[in-house]
Amino acid sequence: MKRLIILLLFGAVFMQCSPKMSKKNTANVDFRSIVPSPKPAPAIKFGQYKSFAINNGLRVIVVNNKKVPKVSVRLFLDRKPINEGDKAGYIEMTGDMLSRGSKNRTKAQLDEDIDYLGAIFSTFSKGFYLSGLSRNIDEMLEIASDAVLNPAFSKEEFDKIKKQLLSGLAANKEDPNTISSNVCNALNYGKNHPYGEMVTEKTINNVTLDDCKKYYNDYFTPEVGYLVFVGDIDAKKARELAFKYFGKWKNVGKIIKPLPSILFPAKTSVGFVPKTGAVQSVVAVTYPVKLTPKSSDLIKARVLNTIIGGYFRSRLNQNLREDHAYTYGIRSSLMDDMNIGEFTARASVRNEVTDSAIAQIMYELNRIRTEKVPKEELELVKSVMAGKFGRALEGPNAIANFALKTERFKLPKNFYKDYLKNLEKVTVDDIYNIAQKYIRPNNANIVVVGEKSVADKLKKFGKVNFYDIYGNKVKMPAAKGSDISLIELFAENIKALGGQKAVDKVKSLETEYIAKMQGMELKLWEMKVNGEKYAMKMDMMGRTMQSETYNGKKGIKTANGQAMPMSEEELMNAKEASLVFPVLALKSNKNAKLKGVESIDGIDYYVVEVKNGDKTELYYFNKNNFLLERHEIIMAVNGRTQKMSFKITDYKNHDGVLISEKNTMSGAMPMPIEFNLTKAVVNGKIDEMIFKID
Amino acid sequence: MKKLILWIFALFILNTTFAQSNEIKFVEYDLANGLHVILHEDHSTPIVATSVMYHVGSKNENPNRTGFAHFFEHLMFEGSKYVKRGMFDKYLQNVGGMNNANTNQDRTYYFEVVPSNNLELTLWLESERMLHAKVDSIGIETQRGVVKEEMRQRVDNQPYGSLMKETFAHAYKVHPYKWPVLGSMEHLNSASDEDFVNFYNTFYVPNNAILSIAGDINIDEAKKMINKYFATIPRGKYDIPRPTIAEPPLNGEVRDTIYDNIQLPGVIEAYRIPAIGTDDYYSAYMLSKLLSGGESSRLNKAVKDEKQLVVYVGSFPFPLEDPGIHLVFSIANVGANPEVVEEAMDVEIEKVKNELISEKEFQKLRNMIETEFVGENTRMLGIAENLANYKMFYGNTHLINTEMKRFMDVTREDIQNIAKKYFNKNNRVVLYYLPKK
Repeated sequence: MKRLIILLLFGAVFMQCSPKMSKKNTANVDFRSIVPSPKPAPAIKFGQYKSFAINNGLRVIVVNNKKVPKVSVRLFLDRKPINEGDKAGYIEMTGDMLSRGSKNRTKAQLDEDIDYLGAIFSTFSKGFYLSGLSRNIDEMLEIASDAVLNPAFSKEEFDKIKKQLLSGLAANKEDPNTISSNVCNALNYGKNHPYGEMVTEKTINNVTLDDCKKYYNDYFTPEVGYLVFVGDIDAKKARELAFKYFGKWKNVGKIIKPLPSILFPAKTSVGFVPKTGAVQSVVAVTYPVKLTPKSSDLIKARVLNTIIGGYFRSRLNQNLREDHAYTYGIRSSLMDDMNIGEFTARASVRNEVTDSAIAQIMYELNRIRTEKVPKEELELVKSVMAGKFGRALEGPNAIANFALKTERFKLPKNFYKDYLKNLEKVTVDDIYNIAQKYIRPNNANIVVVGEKSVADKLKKFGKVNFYDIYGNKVKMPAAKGSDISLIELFAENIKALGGQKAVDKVKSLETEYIAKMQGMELKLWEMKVNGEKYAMKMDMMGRTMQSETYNGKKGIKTANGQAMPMSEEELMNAKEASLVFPVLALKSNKNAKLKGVESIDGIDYYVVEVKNGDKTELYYFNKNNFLLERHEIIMAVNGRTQKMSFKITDYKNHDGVLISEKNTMSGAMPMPIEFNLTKAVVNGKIDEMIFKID
Repeated sequence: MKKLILWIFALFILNTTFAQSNEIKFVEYDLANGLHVILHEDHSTPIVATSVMYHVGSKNENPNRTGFAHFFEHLMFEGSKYVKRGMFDKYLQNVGGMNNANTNQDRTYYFEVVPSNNLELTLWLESERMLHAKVDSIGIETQRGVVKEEMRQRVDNQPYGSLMKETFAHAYKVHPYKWPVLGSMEHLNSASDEDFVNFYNTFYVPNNAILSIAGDINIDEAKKMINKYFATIPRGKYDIPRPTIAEPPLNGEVRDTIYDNIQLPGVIEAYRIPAIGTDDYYSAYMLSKLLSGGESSRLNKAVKDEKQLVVYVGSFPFPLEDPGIHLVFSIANVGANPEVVEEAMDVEIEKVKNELISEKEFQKLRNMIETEFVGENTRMLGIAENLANYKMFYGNTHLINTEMKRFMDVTREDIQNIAKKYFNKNNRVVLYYLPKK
């Protein structure tokens, strides 16, 4: 971190600084003032590898390195990407299932056996990773092959994995970077492409244990596999072990459906994902490219990307971070892939500079196409890349990775040996030429996740389309007005609740909602005497955490057993809360404004906004049924914007009026909390003692 | 979730390293000015790691000038008499090298990894840092701003970022470990330029440093170059202050709750334990494996898998020069009550005290330790640091090849005894991390 900041401060100073030796080293020159010159460059030595296939087609790669008595084994299934459709996630889950017990070992036994050897073992949908002492390699492979070739697929473990995945998704759902990456994928590849589809709560909930079994039976198969041994093991021993533990593994030969074709953007457009209350925008400029690992452009393309956004002093970082201070950092990537590659430049920028930041990204992308890169800059980048390559060669794993890539992509045998030589050959003209091919600012998807209000300023970059967090196109939120007035909306809402007469009849309402979380019960009780009195109590595990009592004149609140009188503002709030339906309070609120129509998760809502100082409240009325279905509160807490959301659903009839039976609260806590109605009494008998204040 | 867990691992990267089976050969010697030099020659990759470890950390600071050691880590990139401001990094980048530095309670460590034909460049830069560093008002002012940002980034803006700071603040009352390595911004603001110059002249001297180099070098050539750049650097003129104060026992559980910008509650138990190098420390390390090494470990199995109370649980002793702490740390699962989590953690610790572990489980721990430390020293940068560490904190560089024996000397009874002796409520701090409202 510190180093980044140092570079931030000083990276901008560009000085000529290639080390040079002074020719005159006379006595009156301090030798310390002379920058030492490098000795002749050392030759890079490459470790060797061996490769062969066994009976069932499983290919084996061995990198022998006896430096320490350890060995690692990786199984990698080089299968094509698969469309998961509405069950996205089952492939990842299958990978997890493989280390959760076999037909011969429970999960606990499997863990115990692996740990006893001091080994490390993890499984993935495309294989496993195993490492430990070379003297234990036989036992280690026995366990690993048992796990992946005889998986138990127990329902209990499946349920645990599902739960974990769902927790992870819920925790990441609001993360703007996750949203940006998901929507970029959807726009670049289309949602029916394996690279464009998305794992959501819904798709995970669709997954059954049988889906995992089916994936395993169809695609966990040796003919697409590589078994990579690295460390203190020779080829002969590796062959024996591969045959012993994986020789009986049967081929399936299932053909994977060809991938849907990709639509390259004909012209640049903006995909905007509104995120209420965001203080930063995540901006990305991205598009698919045709760049495979076998392409003769590959090394040039890497140099090109390093110049643009691939190292700390790259053009994008220099411009957006150092010169303009729009962001803490920006990087770009130009990824090669056997199916379809991708260019992406992404950064989090301050709200108010969203459009300026995009303009600077576009400026840099255009500049590399129109101006030749200065020789010194190219040489610096080559030197940075060569150093990185040299350092990465430390240890046998680098050789194993090179070997695997060479075999998988059928690269020239000397690709990595010649890497530095070919890197050195890249010229200014090469960069200019391939920039024309791979840098396409006029055929890009600009994806912005941010506060809706910044969307207006983005039209200059192309047509602005709006998307939800799942990458579904949604209607553009109306900037002004809608087909209904505020008064009409409230009237419709009252009608929906049961009609004016029925609503008028409700003089009091007592409700109790209970939320159950692991090991805890949260109870929320409220009593409202319309426009007059209000009482609430929140209990956790039977203990009252908070309560409020308002009798029309006075009010007290208690928190953790300590009582305090209500302030003026709190009295006002309590009076408002005493109204049995939110619409009744909104009707008399002068600050309420109809913002327009917004689409969330495919449903259109009329949005009513109430601003009060630092606090903004948004009420979402379903456009079809006029019920209040969402409520958001955005406020600054300790200088930080916090958002609380309520989803108000399951409206049911209680004595002639509709009352929501389910409230899902999210935002202030790690996971949404679901409150379910356990009691609703309309116009019941009122115990005046409830409102007694001493 | 994955991100979170990765981050937690990053938070607790330990500097301790241990013996292994391939012997690391090295030569070591002192220059006349007291600089200790350690050289390891290995030609397998044409790179070299050069490092200088200064025996100064936050515990050497004046209590009214905390944060100095770390502040110097920044200041030392400002340039020197012959290295212009900002050029430290640039010289290294130009040859395709990388460099960085870090500070803890006990030492400050600078390092570079470069293609091996640039060894002399790194020696020149490090000698400039030791002899000629620019400690002037421009650099000090700049770095004040940078350190302030760093505090915001690392402590205020990072989930559980204040964890170390809070844990140490609660675990120590008199020893300098009580203040955070990043120190106090107020202290840094109120310090005079002279304070900084004095600190440099006191601690950044050859007799308080170890130059450790590993990689594709020729020992004789390297010695000549080292002589050229370091031999004429004068020995320090001042005594080097080292804390002598011993922290009295905690004598009673300390509990607190910290509200942070986090998603999931954290439960931290910190037990006071002896310093690195003691027999008890090795036993504590074995205990940490028993509790949280691997999926079959006690805490992982019971608290994470069976009870599903946490998304992460770990335990580790901090490798500190003076008596330190052993953390047992959980991040609760969604909706899990921290009290329930704490209880579940304690159940496992009590079990260790009450029942001697089985021979089989004990053998598992030994196997894990062995695997962990075999192959520990495979990268040049790691070897350079480990060599310096063993010399500085254990006074015995050879431990890089022999430390394994210290672990293997630990018995089942030792593990039980260490739990009984130190893992008690009156010897611990318990912190709850809860989400800010």
